[in-house]
Amino acid sequence: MKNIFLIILILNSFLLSGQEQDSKFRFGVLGGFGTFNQSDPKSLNQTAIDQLPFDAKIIDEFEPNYNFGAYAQYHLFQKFWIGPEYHYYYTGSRLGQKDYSGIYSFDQYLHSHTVGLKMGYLLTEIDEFSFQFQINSGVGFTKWKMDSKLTIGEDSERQIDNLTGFSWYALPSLVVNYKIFQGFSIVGSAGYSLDLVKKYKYEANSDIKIVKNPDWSGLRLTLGLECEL
Amino acid sequence: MKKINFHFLAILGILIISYSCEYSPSEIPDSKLEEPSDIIPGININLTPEMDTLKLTSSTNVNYTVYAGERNIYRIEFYLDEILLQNIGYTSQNSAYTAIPAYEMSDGLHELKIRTYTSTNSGSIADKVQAEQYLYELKWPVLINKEAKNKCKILKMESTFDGVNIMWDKYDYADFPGYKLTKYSNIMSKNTILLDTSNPLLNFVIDKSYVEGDYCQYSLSLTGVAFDFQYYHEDIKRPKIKINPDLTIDVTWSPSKYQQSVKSYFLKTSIPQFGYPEDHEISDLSQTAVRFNEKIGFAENYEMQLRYIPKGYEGYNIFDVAGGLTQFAIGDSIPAYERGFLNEGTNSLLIYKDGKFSKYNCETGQSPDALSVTPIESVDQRFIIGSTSGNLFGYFEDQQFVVRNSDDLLLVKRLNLEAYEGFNFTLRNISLSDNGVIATIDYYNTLRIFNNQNGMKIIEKNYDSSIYLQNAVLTPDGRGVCIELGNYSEETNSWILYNIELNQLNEISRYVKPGSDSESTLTFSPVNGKIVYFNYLGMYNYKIDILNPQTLVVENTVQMPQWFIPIAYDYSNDRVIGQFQFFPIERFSYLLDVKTGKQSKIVQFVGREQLIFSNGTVYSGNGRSINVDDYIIQ
Repeated sequence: MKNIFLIILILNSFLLSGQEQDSKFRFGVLGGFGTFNQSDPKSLNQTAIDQLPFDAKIIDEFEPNYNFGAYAQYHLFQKFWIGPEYHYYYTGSRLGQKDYSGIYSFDQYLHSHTVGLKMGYLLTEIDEFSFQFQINSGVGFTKWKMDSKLTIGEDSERQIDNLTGFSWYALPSLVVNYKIFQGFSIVGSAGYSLDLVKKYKYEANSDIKIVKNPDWSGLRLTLGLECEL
Repeated sequence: MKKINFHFLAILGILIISYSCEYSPSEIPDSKLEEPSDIIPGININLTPEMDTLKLTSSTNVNYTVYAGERNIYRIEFYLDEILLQNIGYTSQNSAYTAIPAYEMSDGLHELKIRTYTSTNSGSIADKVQAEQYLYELKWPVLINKEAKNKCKILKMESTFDGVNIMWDKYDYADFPGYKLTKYSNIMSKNTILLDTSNPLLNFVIDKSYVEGDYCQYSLSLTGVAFDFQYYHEDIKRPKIKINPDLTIDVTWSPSKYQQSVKSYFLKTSIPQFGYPEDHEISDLSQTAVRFNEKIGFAENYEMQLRYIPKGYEGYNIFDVAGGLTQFAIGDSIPAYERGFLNEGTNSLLIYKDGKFSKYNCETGQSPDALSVTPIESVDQRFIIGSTSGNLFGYFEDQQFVVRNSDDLLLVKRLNLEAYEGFNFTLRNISLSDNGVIATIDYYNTLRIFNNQNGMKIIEKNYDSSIYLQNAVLTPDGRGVCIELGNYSEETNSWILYNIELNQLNEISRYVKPGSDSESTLTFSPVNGKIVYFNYLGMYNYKIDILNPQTLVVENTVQMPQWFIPIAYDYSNDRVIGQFQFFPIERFSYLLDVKTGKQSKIVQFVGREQLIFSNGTVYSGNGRSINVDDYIIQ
């Protein structure tokens, strides 16, 4: 339900930009690369390793990963742009062991949809380049799945735990635009995202208090196309 | 519109990408761990009770401990006849126990299976989560025999070269507490533990301390399980006796089978009254003969008791033993008797022993058929009487007096002598004449005489309290009676001869002596009819008076040496034997010729057996006879 609401919100903003061609609007799509702190999920991995009766090792542990997003901005006044943005992040980890007798894995799947305001201030323009300082801030909705599976011979046991939650974030960044031709630019940015307030719950039992939470904080590098209308 | 479509498709594409992109975990590399070998490593186990087959008589705990080195013991399971036992306990991870409920199992063979699950220590995931294990299975036969306890007994005790071998039922069951075999020795008067072992297969022991003659009790104890005991003894072989002409004896015997246990031999005579005892203890075990220098006497049996004295015994050598006893006596063998009379006419003895009357022919030594009667107790045997010549005899049976002919033992008559008040016997004396007249006196001072024809009482006379009716002796023909009366007031003792006529007593003569006399006796000689009066003078002094049977005048008299008591009289030769009955004992007796007064020392007469003296031969109740002339000392 939340996903549907998010899609409708973004679609409406684009439809609105299409109807008002005289206004100074711009929108863009982005792809990027980011790192994630995720210290608590990492500590969970270590706890799992410590508790397992056999040796297990970490295969993946919240490696830097790609992300995708889009935004729209309105030229509110001279040098200042503001508008909604959406971003999708995902990452995960695996630890496990495999031998002749069976296989064990403990996987954590994390993905987050962030929705926020993207506020930009034009610092300067030099020929085809323009430099901005931006602050993005909003809320990220995270799904966190933990999947442990043990297979001995033909016998298998599996346990899946699902958690959901949200966190407030702030992403200051420097943005460089290069105008390719009239109305289209290549946009690059570099910034650092900070997770601020977090709240998660266990889906199967909301009474359980979650003390270890995902932390999406990390470096954000993006590259995208921007279109001005 | 185209722009809108482009924007829409761009956004939609981002969303699809977003939702399709998710973390994809990397493959987990194989650790290349080697599988454990198919050859299962060995384990060490400790199973108690330690038995190849678990033999039970009752419920028993089984303890199982397994040692698997560094491998972990995950689980131990007990199955009894394929049923998993739930009552299992652990004393440690590798040690478990359970109870075998024998009481609810049938007797017979069962199976206990023990399964042990251990880790493989391969290090694999399955090993670590205990999904990979080694299984060890041990099968243990279980034999239930609830009756075994009741069957654990001493099987036999047998003599061997080394001693007594005591064997018992083997009890090799799980609750075996150990065998303890204890011996109680009658000689030692104490218990000795012969064996105390925890080896169930050791079911015999040899008692190397046993000596023949010892009454032992062997007790087998299995504490809390079983107990049994058996008595054992071996008779000592009887020693052999040789009586020398000088009446000393030579004794020979066999050595003990268990010489290693014998300290000494002890031989001792058991003597009759007035005899002389003698004993010898011989420590030289190679010596098996000894002479007893005390001369033995006649008329009662002697006994020679041989004892093997065991090593370690320090008490008196008078303990009871089995066997080793030999009886011996002087004289020729005749039938033994408790009561006997001489049948003068047939020169035979009428004797009674153990409920049987029989005749013994003194010349031929033959004993014809016997007559069985209700056994007569020894205290009542003095009322088995014979007539003067011995042609008749009588005894009490069923409160009636029975008179029989001594020749053929046929019944003459059976009559009531008024001898009983209820069940109380009241007679003090009874006399039987050769023709069947009977005279009785009782404790109430009453004289009764019963005739010889039909047994009718013909005379009954009661004497007042100033007179003590002591005795009544019928004449051989039954026509007269000698009555002994004590007169308290006159302090005299009188024998009065009465003639029995017309059921009346007519005094013929009397013999009076001063003072009281309860020792003197009087008999009629079956040979010449004279009265032989054993006249007691006091202080163990007797004289033998021969009285005229009509006048009671003393026709002859002879003095017995002091302390010698007349015990047998030969009416054929008028000789009497005197026995020394005082202390210290004289080792001889006297033979007195009443006619000539000649005194001869003869072999010592010992004991209290009844004697019959006839024609120079003395017959004794112990079953021996001698011709006294052969035993004259000087």
